[in-house]
Amino acid sequence: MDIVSITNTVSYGDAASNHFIAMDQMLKGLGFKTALYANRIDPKLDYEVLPFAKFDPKTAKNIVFHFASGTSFVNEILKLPQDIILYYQNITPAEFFKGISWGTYRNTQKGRKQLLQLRAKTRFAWAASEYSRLELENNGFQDTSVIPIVVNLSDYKNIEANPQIYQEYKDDKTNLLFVGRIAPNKKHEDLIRLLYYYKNFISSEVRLILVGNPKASYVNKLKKLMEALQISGDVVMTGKVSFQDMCSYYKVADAFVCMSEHEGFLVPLVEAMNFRVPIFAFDSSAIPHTLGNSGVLFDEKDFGQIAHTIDYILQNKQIKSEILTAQDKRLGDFSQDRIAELLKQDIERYFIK
Amino acid sequence: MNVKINGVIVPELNRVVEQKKIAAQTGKEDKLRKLEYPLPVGIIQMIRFYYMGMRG
Repeated sequence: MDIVSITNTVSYGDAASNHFIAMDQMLKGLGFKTALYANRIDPKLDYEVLPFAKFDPKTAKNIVFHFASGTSFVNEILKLPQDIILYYQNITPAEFFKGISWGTYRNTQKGRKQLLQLRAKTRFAWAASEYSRLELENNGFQDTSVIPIVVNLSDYKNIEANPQIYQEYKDDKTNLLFVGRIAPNKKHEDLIRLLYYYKNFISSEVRLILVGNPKASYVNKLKKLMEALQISGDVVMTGKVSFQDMCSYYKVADAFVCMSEHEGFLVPLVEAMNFRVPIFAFDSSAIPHTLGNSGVLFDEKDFGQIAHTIDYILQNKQIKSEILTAQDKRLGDFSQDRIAELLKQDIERYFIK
Repeated sequence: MNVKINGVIVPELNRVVEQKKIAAQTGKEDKLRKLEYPLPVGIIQMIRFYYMGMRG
């Protein structure tokens, strides 16, 4: 095999797993003989990914290890006889999980230590964003470059909106949408505060739609905040949804709003660009790198200023159209042809032929 | 606060939005207070007393 890609877990529908598989397909498209191995495999994907227990290191010229969380599986990678190429998505800082999820707190702490352990084993490292690449560089990784997360945009074409979602939410209300795991680093509480301001100071015809897999202890905290602010009825928490339903929520959205304080890339930004939804985001971590010169960025969380900016831009057709044009242009940077070109350059330089 | 649109800070837009914000907030201070302190003030005071007591 020319290139063997390995990761700890592959789950159906998860952005990191989608990227793991899509990147392999691109490598195959470039003419390489490739294989995928994982420690834990979702049964829906076992036809594409082989169990790591069956992996023979002697059969691999180049190993790409996809790393995004602290796991004891890293010990298996450290034991491999040859060096690796690392693909680093980023690890959420442990502090976000303090008092909310001690298990995740410990795993994320462990992940950052393991990143340093992997350094000596790494010949070359890819990062999902310039933000993550800088972190690698600051931690002493020598040769690094950025390969964005591969989002297979053709999957989103010709997806019909779920008529139930469309009927229920495509109305006169302004739909503010955020898509992503309901986790503390994503700061859903700030989206709730933003909604409160919007509803009480601008217009009551507004709702917040939160699409994403919930973390129970954090969701309870959010529900208490919604009750205290008396806006529980204005927030839709969908939980984990099908791909079609997720696309449907983008189709009814007026604005994609993100208050997250830590992201390694944030695939939903690319999805919002794809569905031509204007993006309003807090300027943190990888978010400005993924947006490039597009979308609207806020450097502070003044909810009044943010809410009035959203309202002003949604009503101003010219500014909104300029934002969407810039987002369209940025979307082009994430095309598979463009990423394949970047992959080719690095492979020629750093991979064993 | 700076707002960047397509990577560029637009001071004129910031000014317009700031004026809209001031106009919208006038006479609604109680609602703003709720945004800053979503829990009833009595509960906040109880929490403060509890922690002061813990510290001795």
